[in-house]
Amino acid sequence: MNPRDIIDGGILFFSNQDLIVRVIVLIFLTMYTLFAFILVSQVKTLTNTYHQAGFSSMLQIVSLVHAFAVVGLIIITIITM
Amino acid sequence: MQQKQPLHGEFVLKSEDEKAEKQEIKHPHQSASSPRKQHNTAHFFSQIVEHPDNIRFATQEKDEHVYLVLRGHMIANLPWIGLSLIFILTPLVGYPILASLFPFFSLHISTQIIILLSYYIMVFGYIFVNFTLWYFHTAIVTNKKVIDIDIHGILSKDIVEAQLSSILDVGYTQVGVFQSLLNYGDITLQTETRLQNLEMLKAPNPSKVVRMISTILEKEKNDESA
Repeated sequence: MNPRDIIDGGILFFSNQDLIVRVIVLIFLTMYTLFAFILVSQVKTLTNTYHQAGFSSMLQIVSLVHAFAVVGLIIITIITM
Repeated sequence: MQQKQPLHGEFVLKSEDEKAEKQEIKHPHQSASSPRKQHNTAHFFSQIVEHPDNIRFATQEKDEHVYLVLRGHMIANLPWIGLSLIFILTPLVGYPILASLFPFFSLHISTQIIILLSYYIMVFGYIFVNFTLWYFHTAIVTNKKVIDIDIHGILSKDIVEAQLSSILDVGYTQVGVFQSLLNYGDITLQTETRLQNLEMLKAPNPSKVVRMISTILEKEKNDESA
């Protein structure tokens, strides 16, 4: 590959604001996914420690939905790039 | 000649005392002074629940009954609720300001939607974490022990258990205008081991809770001695 092509590709990448912003958002969302899944496991652990029938399971579902919503958003960001 | 009538107040008090005595004899565990009363259902927003029928915990034994479940006062949630409202409203105020400050920075509508969705997912995460911390930060009093579940952060929890027989003293402190006005405070259960004092921070109606715990302790001690 010609070094000129690499430089042109770099200029093209940095001239595309949408692409830069999406890459930054992707980095943030990837880190946030880790947090979301830690939250799922912690809610599960805490539910085992203290279980309130009718509501603790709802918290677990909400934490799972939250984690999968983040994953879904990452997929949408990549697909629409 | 007019017959002397007994005082009404005296009569009522006596009859209630007799009823209570009879009930105590028939059902020693279901009297008014006993901690074992009718069951209540704990809701997600409940701060004090007596005799909840829908709560169990990890170290619960078969013959162990939950007498009291306690969470922090609702007012403890006010800072994060206020901050969440600010976070929710920020894009509405911030977007026009950013658009006027950086007119050359124009993003496609799909990118803008993705940024907004990412932002609101994170705000939801913040709300959810804070609610979870409040929800699981509980104290449980059973017929055998007191369990204090302190959740300091998402990865930091501190669970302390103390047998009822090891609890020496129960007390509470209310400091400041807000705690006095809104009737909440910190309850301390002093145990035999000085290092393991249990604290229930920002508990609602601390005087009532202390009275309830004292009643439970007294009842259990009487049961043990009997």
